[in-house]
Amino acid sequence: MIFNSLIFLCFVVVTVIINYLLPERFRSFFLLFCSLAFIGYYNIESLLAVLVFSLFTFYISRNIRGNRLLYIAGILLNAYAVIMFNYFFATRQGFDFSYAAISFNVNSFIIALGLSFYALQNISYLTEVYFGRWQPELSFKNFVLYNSFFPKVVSGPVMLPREFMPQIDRNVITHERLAAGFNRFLLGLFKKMVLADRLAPAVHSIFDFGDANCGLTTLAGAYLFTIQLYFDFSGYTDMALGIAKMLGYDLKENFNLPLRASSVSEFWRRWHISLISWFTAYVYYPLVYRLRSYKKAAAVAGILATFLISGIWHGIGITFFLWACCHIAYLCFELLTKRMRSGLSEKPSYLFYKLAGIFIVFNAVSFSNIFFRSGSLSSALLMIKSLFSDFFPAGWLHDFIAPLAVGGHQVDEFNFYISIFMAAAFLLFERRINRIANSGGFSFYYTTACVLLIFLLGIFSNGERFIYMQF
Amino acid sequence: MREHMDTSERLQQVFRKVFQKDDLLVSASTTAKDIRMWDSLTHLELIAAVEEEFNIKFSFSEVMQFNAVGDMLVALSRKSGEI
Amino acid sequence: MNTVKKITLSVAIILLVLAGLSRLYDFALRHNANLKAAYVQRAKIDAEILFHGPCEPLWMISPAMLDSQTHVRSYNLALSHSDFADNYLHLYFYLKHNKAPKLMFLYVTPESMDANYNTFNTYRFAAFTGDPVVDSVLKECDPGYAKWTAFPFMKYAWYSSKINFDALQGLKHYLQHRTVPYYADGYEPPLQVVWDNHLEEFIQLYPHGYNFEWNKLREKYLCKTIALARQYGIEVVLYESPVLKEALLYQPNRREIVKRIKGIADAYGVEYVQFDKMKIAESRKYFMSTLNLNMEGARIFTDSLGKYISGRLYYNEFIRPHL
Repeated sequence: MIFNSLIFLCFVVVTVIINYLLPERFRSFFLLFCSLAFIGYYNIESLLAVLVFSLFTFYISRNIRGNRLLYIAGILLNAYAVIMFNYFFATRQGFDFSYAAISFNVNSFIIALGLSFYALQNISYLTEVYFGRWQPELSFKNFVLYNSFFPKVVSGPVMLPREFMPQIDRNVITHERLAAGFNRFLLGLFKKMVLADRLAPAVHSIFDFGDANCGLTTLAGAYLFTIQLYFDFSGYTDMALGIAKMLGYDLKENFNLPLRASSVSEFWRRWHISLISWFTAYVYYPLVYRLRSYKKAAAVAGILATFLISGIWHGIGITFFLWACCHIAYLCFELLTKRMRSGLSEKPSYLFYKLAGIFIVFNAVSFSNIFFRSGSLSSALLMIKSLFSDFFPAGWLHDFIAPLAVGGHQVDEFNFYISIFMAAAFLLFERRINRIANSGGFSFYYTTACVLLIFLLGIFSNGERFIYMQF
Repeated sequence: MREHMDTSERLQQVFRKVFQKDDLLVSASTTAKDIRMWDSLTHLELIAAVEEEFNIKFSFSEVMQFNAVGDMLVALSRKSGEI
Repeated sequence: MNTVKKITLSVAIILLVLAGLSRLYDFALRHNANLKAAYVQRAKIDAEILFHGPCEPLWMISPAMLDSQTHVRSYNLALSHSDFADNYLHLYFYLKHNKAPKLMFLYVTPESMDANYNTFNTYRFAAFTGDPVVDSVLKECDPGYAKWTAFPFMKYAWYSSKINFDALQGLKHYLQHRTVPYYADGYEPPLQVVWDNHLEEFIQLYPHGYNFEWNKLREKYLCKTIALARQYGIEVVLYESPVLKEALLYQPNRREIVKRIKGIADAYGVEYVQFDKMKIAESRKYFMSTLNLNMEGARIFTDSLGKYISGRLYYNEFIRPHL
């Protein structure tokens, strides 16, 4: 069930209505049933996996206090599962992991839906219980729901026990929450169908055809991938948060206008927030705390460990390693030049500094994403090579568009320009749009405009059926 | 001279030294949001400097709960009481 | 205004706008002269010879060039990426409005029988749903789409990135009273004329060769297309233009599939002509991909085809009546 498929839409509507009508004490049972059905519909292995992992973590958590061996065993098993999952993924798909695995293109999950996400939750749960910061959950039902809650099982947000557990038995669904959830869901649908999927063909053509394009085209491709990834993943998150809200749950925000970050460390406070705050809490701080007497060297070690592990979490392979290396380099650079930059930012040209920062960060992130998206090291290197060669060939102003507008017909250019226009307009007014999407009332103009635009410009047929037809 | 400075003044000196800004003013209500350079990358460097200045050790969970300078002051006064 | 009223109003406006847009798109697409499906139902073409199939005939056979040789008017009905179901519906549209031609050349190769090559291009028929023939083909070839067509505007929204442009163009054509398409005789010169490296990619993907898979739906619509043509008394010739020789090494079952195609041709009593003896098949310098000749190759091929057609017309007119 893909999040923007008809069957999922029906599933959501039915679930929300029944859940709303049910008395509060039955809701968690009902949602657990729906979540397991959702996972089982994807495949039966995933259902088994979520049950086995929940059962294991649930039972060891009861005896884990003060039992270091059990704690380590629990963590290792969950970590091992993530690594094996990613490893199988890498071998089955020939490293064709790409962004899809952290977006909601569930077709790319082969072994167990959402495993890399709930394994993180399990590790945090075991840690909290082991250190006595959280009481072990008594109800197995609640614990399985924590792992399998269907809006977040596919791709997060990663929720800590204290953020999710208390919501289970006290959820009040008001009309205001229903409206806010609906608005948020609609925003996600819009981002996915009208923005992300429309940009997909251009990105596909630059990254997957293995052609050596001119520098400007390659740069545009890398930019567009970053934007596509943002809309795709944040669109998914909006839908997840919206559905959860309509079911009476508040999930954690995952994005906060990341493309407006003016430093890479700020970017990581705004992009995939739930994941990075998990890494900060369970990898970075514990390590740096121990090493803190080494001052800056401790922070460097922390960055190194965090991003290497994050790289492995995203996928096993040299491309993810290099992606992580990029961010390690960026963050270390920022750490060591902090004072100098802080001096710059307080000069009268603050606005200029800020805009330059946004531009530089966007470029840096897009560059690292070349590794993130490329299927193999050789194709990433080919892209980087073409990025720095022949930047403005003769007739570039017209020609650099052609490889992005796949197909090269007028209609393809038309579509490309519309996609660019829609994405740019959205990014420009993003703050205002988000405000409406988070408001708790039915907004006539917002709803009507979103729905009509989805019908007029959305991609319905599971992405583009035709772009693969090259013959 | 040092003995005459109260805890919050000494803390301010530490902040100035760590963030390398001589005109930095901190109060109990100052949070990480107010100081641009205070983020997770520098948080523990700051903690280490505070520990060195006051010659104490914070536990990991204390460190995790420092959201504002005020939290730090409370912990410091508790520690100095213990001594 | 309370919320219930607002929601009702919003839903009503959305449905109203969608219904209106649906009408507008219907109208605009039917007036787009560049869409063959629309054009052949508005203009009187009445050609004597039709060329039909996917991009190979579309990019290779220029009626303007051929007609000067054969002295008979022809039209190129082919469309890129199309399969036989697509071809079938276009022939159906053509025959609905035009006089039946004497001869139809339909491009058939082992590739056309394999579902991995070309496709049914649903969006080309969106404006013509409601016609029982169209609906039944859509249902069979793109069921995911067909079940949506009842919902207002959904038949256009489903493939909106293919259709929006055509609709705008149709509107422009209507406002400018334009009735002649950009490519008047249906022939479209290829956008790319240099060697496209598909063969190299193909070999990389299938170093030990690729076996064509026979697709039942393709077979069915090939038969239906031949049957439809014959129902109108059209003489059908199945043909294959020259195929690059070196590519055949990677297609172990090509002969076997060709044999099956010949079987179908025999069953309908039509001819299957392969231009495989032509010299140009041996050199890459006449090709831009395995199946597509480049401009120079296409010119040489069209010349041979012209001779074949002239001979055939002469035979039909002067020899056969006396046999």
